[in-house]
Amino acid sequence: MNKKTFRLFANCKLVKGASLATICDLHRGKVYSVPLSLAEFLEKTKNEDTLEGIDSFSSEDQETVLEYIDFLQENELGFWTDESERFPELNMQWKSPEHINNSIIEMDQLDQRDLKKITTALTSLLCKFVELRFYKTINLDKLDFFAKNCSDSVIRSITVFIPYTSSFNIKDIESLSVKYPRIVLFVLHSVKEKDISSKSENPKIKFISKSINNQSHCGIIDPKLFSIKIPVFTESLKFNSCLNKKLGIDNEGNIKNCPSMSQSYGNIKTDDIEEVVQSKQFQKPWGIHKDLIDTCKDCEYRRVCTDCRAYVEYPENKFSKPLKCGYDPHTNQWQDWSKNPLKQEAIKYYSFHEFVKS
Amino acid sequence: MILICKSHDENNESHEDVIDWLSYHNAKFDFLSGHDYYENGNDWSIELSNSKNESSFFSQEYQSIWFRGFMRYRSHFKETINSLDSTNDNIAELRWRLGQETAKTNSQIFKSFEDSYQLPNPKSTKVDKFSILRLAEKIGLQIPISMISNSRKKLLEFYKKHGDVITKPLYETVYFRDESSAIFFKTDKITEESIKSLPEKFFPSFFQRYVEKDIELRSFYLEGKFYTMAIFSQLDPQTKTDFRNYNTEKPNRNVPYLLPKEIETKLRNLMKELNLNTGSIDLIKTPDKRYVFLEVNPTGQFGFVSKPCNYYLEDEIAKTLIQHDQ
Repeated sequence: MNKKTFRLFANCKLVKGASLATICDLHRGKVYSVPLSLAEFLEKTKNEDTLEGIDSFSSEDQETVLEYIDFLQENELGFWTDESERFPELNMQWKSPEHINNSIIEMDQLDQRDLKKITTALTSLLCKFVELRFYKTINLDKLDFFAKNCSDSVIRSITVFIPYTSSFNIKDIESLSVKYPRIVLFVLHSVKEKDISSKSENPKIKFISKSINNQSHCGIIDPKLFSIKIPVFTESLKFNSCLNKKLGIDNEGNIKNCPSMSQSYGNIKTDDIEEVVQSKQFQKPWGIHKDLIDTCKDCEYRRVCTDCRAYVEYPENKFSKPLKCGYDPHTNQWQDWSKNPLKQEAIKYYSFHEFVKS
Repeated sequence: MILICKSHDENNESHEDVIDWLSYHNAKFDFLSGHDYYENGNDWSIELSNSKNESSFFSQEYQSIWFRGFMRYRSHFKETINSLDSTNDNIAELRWRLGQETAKTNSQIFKSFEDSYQLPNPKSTKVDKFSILRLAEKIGLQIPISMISNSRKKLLEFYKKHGDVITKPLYETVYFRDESSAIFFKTDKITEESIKSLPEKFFPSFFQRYVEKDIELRSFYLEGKFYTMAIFSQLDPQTKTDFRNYNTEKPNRNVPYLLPKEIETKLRNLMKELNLNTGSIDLIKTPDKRYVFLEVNPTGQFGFVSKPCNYYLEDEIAKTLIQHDQ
């Protein structure tokens, strides 16, 4: 009789944290919390006879382990097999066919010459996703110009943030959305209660009351933002979960890893974007992966979570935990990050006060 | 220079992904489809005489060809045919004859890149399932008991003898539709009732004994290597006969799988016999651990294997094309 092994499906990956583990179901996009001891048991017995392995527990624990295995089987996270050697682990390679994968551009103060430089660079860097942010002003000609100049690029989607004003004609946006299928979403922000009447039927146009009037809204860590997918998981093993292959251009034309970060590597008015992006300096933060980051390295969600290097708990330490994360992997509690007394110094440092209150 | 050969209206994510990798590796590539020959109105000729043998279409040399298809007959000559004042029978025959002529012309078109590297050779893609099964059987692979027949009586005997039966097209799995109806040539289970509802003689069709599954296997073959995926379709009644009856809520579990070496060796021999350097191979592993070969799709899909198993087949294909583009 062959040995019977209980195996997790290859795309249901165990991640061990300080006091809990998770099974990240990268196929169906779900995370399950499980006890560390179960994770260790499953790892140890993945090529062994599972029932024999269970024998080593006390009779009380045996029952618990069996219950867990039933749960895993019922939820189709694992299966019994007597040919475990035929089921290899998922390989953990990650690569992507872009020099820059995504780009965030603050539009308010950039002119057409700047935009031309940006679209030329994004085209040759094979950028796929673009976010354009208008914080205070709105200039649809600029948007039109930008989209027109992307025609030779491999850009798959452009998302645009635009402040809502009363002088606004929604028809102009609707016609842009038809003219440029690459623009997949317009987010009209700072919409007041009284303006709500002027909504659009166009599914590509969303209205939000929140004001996106500077960069500080960014960097939130929340289970709602988890991305439970193979490429996210594998990328996080070696690369930063936010900044890798990202390009930010701020209002003044500074070339950054993200518009919210203070460090600039050059300016589009004087420097060649592609050259800057391909420099060692610029790419250095790409390698700050979760196993290097304080607290995150102990967290069982680190392979499916986002990251933020712009706003961290101890601003002088580049390996510090994201400021806007309220999770403690040692106690497994989620708290409101903005009320945490330990974070008040950093909140002051980034002058978030107004933002936190709103 | 690389040439990507596909039918003009065929666009899918896997193709886009391969193209992304080609761009990333700085490869140069062009596209070609039957559309360029039949619909675009470009002048072209293929000339042959005692002193001449040339084709006027290409201004470029293509060293490496990725063959994904060429054309869909249906979309061609549509206006001409619609404007004909003739009987349905005549039009059906005309379409068929034009299809025959087109196929012959196409094989002359493919001649012009006969000396290039081809992934795969277009000539080898035109093979039917029964011929492949014959070959597989000769090579020593297990195959499902198969039959082509036009007779209700024969089918009933087959059913009584072997139990559950499926039917599928001998050639390509196709789907086409117009405003009023859709036609789908696909795999279906045959029940005793459905046999009884058939006329005594019917259109000659392909039948196979239904093979009990432990898991379904899809193996993408590329230049001697196998990238295999196991599909746990048996966990879900909805996907038991054909995993393509997708359950979007709870998709079938798809995981990497290693075929036994002796099965890989036989499959490699089969691909060699078929003159195919790539293809998607379908197999079943039965509850009693036999590997039953079902079919090869020379230009089959690969994205659905690549993504869940993290194989990056798109990059492997791009690199194979680049390697031969010297």
